[in-house]
Amino acid sequence: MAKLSIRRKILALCISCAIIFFLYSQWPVLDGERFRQPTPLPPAPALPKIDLNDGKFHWANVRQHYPVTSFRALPEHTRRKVPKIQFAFGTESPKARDERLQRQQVVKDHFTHAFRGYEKFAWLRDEVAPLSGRAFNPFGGWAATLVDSLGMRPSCPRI
Amino acid sequence: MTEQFAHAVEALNQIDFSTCSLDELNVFETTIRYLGGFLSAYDLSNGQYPSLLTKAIEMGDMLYMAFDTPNRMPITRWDFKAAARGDAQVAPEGILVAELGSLTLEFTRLSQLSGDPKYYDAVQRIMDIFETQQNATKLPGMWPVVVNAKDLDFTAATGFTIGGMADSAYEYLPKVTRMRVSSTLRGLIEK
Repeated sequence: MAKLSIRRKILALCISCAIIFFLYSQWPVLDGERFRQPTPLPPAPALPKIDLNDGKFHWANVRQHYPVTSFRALPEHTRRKVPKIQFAFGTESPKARDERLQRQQVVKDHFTHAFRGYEKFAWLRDEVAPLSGRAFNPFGGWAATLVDSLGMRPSCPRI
Repeated sequence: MTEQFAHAVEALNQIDFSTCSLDELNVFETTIRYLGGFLSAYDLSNGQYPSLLTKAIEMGDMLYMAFDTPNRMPITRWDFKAAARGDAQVAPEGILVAELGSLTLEFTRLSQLSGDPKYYDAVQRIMDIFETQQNATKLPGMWPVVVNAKDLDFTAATGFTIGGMADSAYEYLPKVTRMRVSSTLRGLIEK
């Protein structure tokens, strides 16, 4: 009797495992359904107008030797939700929080130091040399550091 | 912060792409730093600063001229002054695969935002070659570090890596796929 009970338990366990495995193996399929609905983009703001006949040099006015006559159509632009892949952190101890904020501050201070140096010594040039404070233009001289870092600044707190 | 950002955007309006500190432009570096910088700043500020898109279009129009070759492959180390004068150009024989394969994100986004398909068209022609020759290389599935853009032969070279000089070509595949829906690029990754 006791033996049978153990067998039954093992059988039940096997069936449960099979069911769980089946559901798990179907998860990407089931999950994919939820993400298949594309959401349209918000309306684009008005396009900037560039006057190509203002007498200045415009690259768009340079005659091409081998112009393309038929353009590939841009694929339909859709936004899809993707599953979150980032690790879910548990509750943070006060000690861990202090350490994290301290490290965050060090990174921020370094960025601020570097950007202030650029503002002071190399504004609108490509790069500032960290020791001599000299300005360099290895990327064409169009304010590479400023353009490159502008993409991250809106998300920074006030510096 | 918003003020500082506005101040920076204002300063960028002074940039004049008709003058340059170099004789030869690295098209890849210019694309990822400048074009990518303008586009991401425009997107991250929710399109509040149209001049960022203007600068991106100006930059895109400049870089687009590097594609004015018989087979529409770009000149990756580019004598832009010759191009501005109207000289005829030919794509080079040996170029780094990363420099050729890491233009799609910026050019595609520029077409999406400007509504002009020419930028996307320019880079999609490159990816078409990547796709048709992917399984004909010495290490099928990957592309060698050096490819021949002039003769459209991406199969002959024998050096392969996923490190420097090649890495971003692979990095861009999933990113640009994420940004747009394209059966072509998705096919490249799944292989």
